[in-house]
Amino acid sequence: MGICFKGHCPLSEFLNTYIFHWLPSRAIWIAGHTLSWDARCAGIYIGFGIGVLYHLMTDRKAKNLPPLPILITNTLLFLPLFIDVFTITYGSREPSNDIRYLTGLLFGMAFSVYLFPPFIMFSHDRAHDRSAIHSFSIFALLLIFIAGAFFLKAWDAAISYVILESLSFAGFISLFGILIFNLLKTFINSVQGVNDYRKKQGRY
Amino acid sequence: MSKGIRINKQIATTLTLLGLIVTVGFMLACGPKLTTKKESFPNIYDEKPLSILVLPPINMTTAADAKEYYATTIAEPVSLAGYYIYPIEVTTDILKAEGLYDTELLVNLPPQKFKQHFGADAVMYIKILKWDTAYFVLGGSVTVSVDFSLKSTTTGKVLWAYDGTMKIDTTGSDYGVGGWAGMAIKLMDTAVKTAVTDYVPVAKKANIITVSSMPFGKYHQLFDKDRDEKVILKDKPEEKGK
Repeated sequence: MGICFKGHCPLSEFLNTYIFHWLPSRAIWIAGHTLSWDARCAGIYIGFGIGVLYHLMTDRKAKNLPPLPILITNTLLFLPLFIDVFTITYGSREPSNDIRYLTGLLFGMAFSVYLFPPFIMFSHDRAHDRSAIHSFSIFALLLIFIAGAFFLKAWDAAISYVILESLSFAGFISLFGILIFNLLKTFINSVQGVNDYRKKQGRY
Repeated sequence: MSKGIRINKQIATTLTLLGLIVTVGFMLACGPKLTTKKESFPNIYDEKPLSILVLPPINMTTAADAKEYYATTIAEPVSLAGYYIYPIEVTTDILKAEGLYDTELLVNLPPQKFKQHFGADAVMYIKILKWDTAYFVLGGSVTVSVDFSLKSTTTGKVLWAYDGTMKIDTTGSDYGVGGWAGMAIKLMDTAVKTAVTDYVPVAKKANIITVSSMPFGKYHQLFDKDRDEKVILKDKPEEKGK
């Protein structure tokens, strides 16, 4: 960002501190380029991006969460990130960008499975009464895509950089888009609820 | 085919709010903890050293030649940070002439001795923590990790301490050739890249990362103007110096 005063660039400092978290030692380098985020955040946003795209491909109007066994398995995928952070913080082992990236991918993917159905529920009046990830085989395919994103990082070519950078931005935009949309919808629904209640009160 | 778990508006709202909390949580927790240079290294602003004596690095790795190679990379970034650096080759020769071949022998020596013998304002101890090649057939990397500690030769206090790591991926390319042939090409490319990667440029990058946290010296235009500049919080210099 080009807005700088006396050697300080507040906007870029703010963006790097709170959004990108980029550090040379924690960055992912592919074909001489670096992803805009640090390894863990890149993993989270890429995982989320893949999750959202996968939901759109399988059933873009499915509003239900996956069946309970899949949901429990999906919830377990949050854990590696916390285990990684915990073991690094308490000095049990050396940090590794590959593990940061992998645990971020799993976290982001698991996050999308929880956040996408509410978005469909809020955004579609005639959403399908089923889950986009209704079987373990479909869930396994999603995991294969995640594994693909992990191994794509090792392919030192500009195309893999472009794919991963695009996915990370797609994930970032969709995550905040979904959150903002859902919150707005919740707010509008609450206001409507209050108005309906007042109308009823006035009627009686 | 299972229909999955139905959600109503309340559950959707709860999931959204939880999602918001988790997102804000990882955005705050994932980022580096920042602090100002003045908060991290107050002693260096109080003492304002002009000249630094850089001792030969302490090699903590199994690479026997790391010390000599690394010693060639350190003068430039510290000089560019605004300090006068005593010529490392000359000081190393003087120390060798006195029978002090290894910096390990000097670590416990009071830093004030360097003021007496060299007239330096501060003395810099460097540890080479990693000088490694990792090779796993289809992938590889070269890592250099260094740890710096700058002590005052007047008070003996730690003025600045920091560490930095640089890792370069040396995984080869299959140059668009698929199948087994592509894998064989990638394997060879990785082996060659990992074998021929020069450690010195990697060490220079590690130095840039590390020395960027150092407050500027008197020979730099930003001398004493960088107190509020942000650096990533690491261990307190006093704790690292122990």
